[in-house]
This record gives sequence, structure tokens and C-alpha cells, in this order.
Amino acid sequence: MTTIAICADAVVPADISIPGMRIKVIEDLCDYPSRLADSVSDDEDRLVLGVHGSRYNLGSAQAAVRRLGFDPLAIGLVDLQTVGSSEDLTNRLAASAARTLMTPKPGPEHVKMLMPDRSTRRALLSIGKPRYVGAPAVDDSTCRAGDGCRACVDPCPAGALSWSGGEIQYDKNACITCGICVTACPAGAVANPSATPAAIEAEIRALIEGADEPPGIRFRCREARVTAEPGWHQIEVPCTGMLTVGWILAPMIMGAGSVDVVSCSDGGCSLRNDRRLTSTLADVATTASFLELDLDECVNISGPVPDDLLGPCASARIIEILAAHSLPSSTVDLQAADIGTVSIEPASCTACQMCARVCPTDALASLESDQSIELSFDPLACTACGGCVQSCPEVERGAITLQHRVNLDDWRLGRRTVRKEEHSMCELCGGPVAPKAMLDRIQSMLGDDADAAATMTVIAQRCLDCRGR
Amino acid sequence: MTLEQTSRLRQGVYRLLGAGFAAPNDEVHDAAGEALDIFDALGLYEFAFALDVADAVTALAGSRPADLEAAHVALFATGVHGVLCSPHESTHLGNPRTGDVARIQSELRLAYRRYGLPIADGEPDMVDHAASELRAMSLLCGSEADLRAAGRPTADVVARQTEFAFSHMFRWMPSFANQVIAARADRVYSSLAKGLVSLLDHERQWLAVLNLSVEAGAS
Repeated sequence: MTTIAICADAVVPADISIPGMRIKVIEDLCDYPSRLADSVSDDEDRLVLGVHGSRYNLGSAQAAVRRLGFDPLAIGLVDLQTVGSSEDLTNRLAASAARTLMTPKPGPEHVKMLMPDRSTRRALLSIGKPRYVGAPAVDDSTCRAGDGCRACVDPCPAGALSWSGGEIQYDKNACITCGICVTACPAGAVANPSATPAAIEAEIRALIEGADEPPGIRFRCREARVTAEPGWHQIEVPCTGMLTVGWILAPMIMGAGSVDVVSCSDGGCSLRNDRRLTSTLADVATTASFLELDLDECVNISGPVPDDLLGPCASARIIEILAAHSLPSSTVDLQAADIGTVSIEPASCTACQMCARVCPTDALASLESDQSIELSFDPLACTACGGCVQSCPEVERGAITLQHRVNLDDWRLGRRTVRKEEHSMCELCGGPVAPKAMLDRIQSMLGDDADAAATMTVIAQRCLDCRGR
Repeated sequence: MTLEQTSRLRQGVYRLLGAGFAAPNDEVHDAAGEALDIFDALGLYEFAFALDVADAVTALAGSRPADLEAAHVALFATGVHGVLCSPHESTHLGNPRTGDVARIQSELRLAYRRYGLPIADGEPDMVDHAASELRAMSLLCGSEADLRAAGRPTADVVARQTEFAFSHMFRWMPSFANQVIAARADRVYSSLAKGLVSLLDHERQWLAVLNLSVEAGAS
């Protein structure tokens, strides 16, 4: 059973009810969160609080919730100041409950204490109640850092993530919990329980399903204070810098009437992510124009709405769905979206397959037989993380290029071969030695003198097993 | 919430977890029965580790000493390929062939002596045991609380806590605790291990706050 506890200072309709949920209206809940203890029984497994953002003390409320046996990072929160009408309140509470149901139980690794802004001499004696926010943690079982992926490292504005020896190192004290790493990870290996894609998607779907008219979905930075506006529902995210083109367009597929983003950055983003959001919004505008899509109008999607629209590799899939609706057929280049088209230049590529080895989504994949190597590319799986370009030893000779490009004709073709190279065969055993292009490259680096020619004879004509014979 | 209260809370939690990983005895069992109320009065629920520590204390208080004894032996004293979950730092961080065991134990003995802590005196096998290191940290937190109560500077004792935690505990205890959790041999020890992981993760952040407040006081 889920309990919804609402501060009585809000305008709560007397007949408020949400199926499957117990609703308690508590006097002065914002000021005295300990009053929760009288209203929440032992059999509850989920909790949603409706409180006033400006009066609510996060530290006190987290302690009160913890005392009841709930993890404060796994409960739902609705800021009553962002709620317009009583219908809106019901819808928001139900959506928050839906989000809570999809929120995983946080472990200690997901908890970050908010450090005091400034330490003073007074801090030698006492300290305010500690406040905690959800922090990202890397799931080693799905992380592709062992293959060389470091897609989360560069986007991190705080330098809290680094790559070392095939592992991602995370400095929780440096982390600003902006959530960018969550959407930057192509493998979905970085999770922050406060902002999991699945939980946010559940909240958006519930808001849309609960509304009489298709509502507007407004992604709001947790630092931004935005008053309620009729017809708009706010979805809080840790930082709007974490939003991708796919996240911003996904609500349109789910049935939203319009979509909008409100960041904290009128006076400059406190998390230093303004530029990232600016380029994402520019890409959204370019994509919308390309798709002949008005972000203030409903889109009719034929067929069922697919699941997992905010997961990794979703941006390309979302654009493909929207493109199927409006049927444009051309190409558009974006600035920095998580959508990529990889091109291989056969004259420079040595078919070493480093790009396929490092690709975290297997958008680039290699198939090797005794006779040849075949490199294939699936544009819908590419998140433009850039790992292939970083790992290519021939990048300076233009062997591989990555463009943030939507190419619908290309997408419709699906996975395709982008490079095929024959192996040189061993003169003794007949097995593969190396791709011919790789041997040609070695020869060009060694030069034409007699020593080089002798070396090349051994390297090119015999496999590793036969060289000693 | 005062910093003295917080130091007392940390002292108590370290003490109880340390005693939990030592050989079971009735005294610990009885102490666990009263610990939760004391921790609550000291502000346990203000901290993120509260739920896991409360679970551990409840599990310890509700356990039967005889069952605990059997689980203790199974987890920390026996195993076909060696001890299932060794509670000794030198097993986790040292290579016995290169004399690391002696080096780690002597480093710890030196640290205990330098801090003036009566840890593992006359018990050479216990020098690098989890129970001893947790007790050492508990005593350092107790010293911090005493100094705060007397209004005296705490910079030195905070520095010792930080040094001890980063040189020893943080380097091996999380992996030890995760071994205990993964072994799934006993609910009480799994709860204690989860409490330990939670506490240590929090301590990394709390020690940063303490050092920050020490710096502010010194400036």
C-alpha cells in the first residue's frame, strides 16, 4: 500500500481519493514532519509527501521518514507550490506514486551528503541536520569501461568521473549529482535512484494518462522555482543539462500536448551546465523543424507507444517514430545530440577493429572469419559517444569520422557493412595472418630498404604460430 | 544536533559493529537490545546510515547466541579453501609470501600505540581484525566527543580518525563486508555487514565535513 501524506495548508479537496492509495492530510506537516509517525502504519511500503517547497526542511523530513523505516531517496515528493488546481493535485500525487513504484531501493553508494556551503567557527560546536541527495553509482556488471568506454567521463562537469585501468573511478565528494552521467552512459550502467529514466518515464506517462486534455510536460531543474501554470505539469530533474534530444521529445510520443524545459540558468547554472543545455535545445529545435513538428501541438502516433523511451539509445528511436508520422526523407546535422553516424574511409582504415571493440552499444560490430573481416554499423544503436574515434589508431589519417547526423534513409537500411577487408593468408598453414590493409600500412611505415623488406616478408607471409619454423 | 552528540553516536555504532564481528558473547547481545534507543537519542535517524545500522542492531539483539557462534565459525574461521570471509586486514591487503602480514600488523600496532589506544594488547591474532580496527575508531570518536565536551580543539583527533580510516579501514573493510553479504550465510552477519558498508560510505563524507570545520576553525 502507498500512503500519500499532504500538508493540510494546501487546498485539498475533501473527497480526494486515488485508487490503491491511502491519503492522509496532516496539519503543519511541512513544519513538523515528525507528525508523519501518527499517520503512517507499519504495512506501508511506499510513501509520497505533498509539501511546500519553501517551508519544507529537507533534513528534518528525511530524518522523520527514516524513523518510519522508509529510505528518503525512494519516496515521492510533490511541491504543492507547483500545483495549480485540485484536479492537478490528484494527478500529480498519483504520478509521483507511479514514479516511486519504479524507483529502485538506493544503496549506500547512491547517497551523497550535501556539504555545508560555508564552514564557520560556529560549525566547531554544532552542525545543521545533514541533508542527502541521490548520487550516481556505476554498475560494474554492465559498465563497458573494461572495453575502453569512457562516455561518462568527458561530459561530467565536476570532474568526478575518471577512467583508469579499465574501470570508472568515481569521486563522490566532487560529484554535483547533476545526472549528466546517467544519460551519457550508452550502456545504462550509471544509475541515480533519484532520477532513473524508468521512474521519470513512469511519472510522465501517469501525468498524461490522468489528465483530461493532453497536458504540457515541463522539465524543471531542481533549483528552478516555477509557479504552477494551468495545463502544465512539472517534471523535476537534477539538472536540465542531463536532458537529451530524446528525453525532450519523448513526452510528445507519450501523448503530451506540448513540451518545455525550465532551467535555473537565468543567472547562470550553478552546476555549470548551461552550454550543454543550450546545444541540446538547439538540436531539439533543428530536429523539430526537420520533422515538421510543432512542440506545442499533439502528435498522433499510429500503433502502440513503445516502452523504455528514456533509456540508452532512445533518441534515434524516438526521432524514427516521429519521422514515420510526418514522413520527411532527408538528412539533418545536429550539434551534439546522442545520435551518430559513423563513416569509415577504406583507404585509411587498417581493419584493426579497435572501434568495434570499444563501442559500448555494439553499433559498430565486427565479424571475423578465416578469410576476411567485416565491420558493420547500426545507426539506430549509435549514441555518438565518440569512443570509436578516440580509439582509432588511424584517426589522423581520416580512417573514421563521427557526425551527429540524422539520416533517415540510412536508418531505414538498418545495420549495414561499412568495411570489408581480406586477410593475408599464411604460406605454411594457410591460416589468417592479418588484414591486408594492416600489413600494407606496416610496410608503408617501415619503408623500402632491405631490412624492412626482410621483416615484412616474415610478418606478411607467416602467421604467429608459423613464424618460428 | 551537536557535534559532540554525533561523535558519541559514531563511537557507539563503531563499538557495536566491532563487538558484533568479534567472537559472540552474551554481553554484546544484551547491549544490542538497548543500543537502538541510545542511538536514537543521539540522533541516529538524522543520518543516511540509520536504516542499515538499525537493521543490524535489531538483528543482533534478536539473535540466539548459540546460532551466532556457529555462524561466526562458519564465516570467519573455517572454509575448504581458507577462511570464507577473512576478518583480517592483512589477508585482504597483504601477500603473506612477501612479509606483508607482519608489515601491516606492525603498522597497526604502531598506530594504536601512537594514538594511545589499548587495542589487542596480548592478543597478536587480533591486531588487524575488523573488530579491533572498529574498536580503535570507536575510541578515537570517543576522544573527539570528550574534547568537544571540554571545549578543547579537535583537530588532532579528527586528523587521526582520517588517517586511520583512509590508511586502513576504507582500504579493505568494504570488500570484507561485501564478501560477508555475498556469502549469505547468516542474516545477522549480513545485516552487520550492510550496516558496516553504509557507515563506512557515510564516514568518507562525514570526515570531509569534519576536516572542513576544523579548517574553518583554524583560519
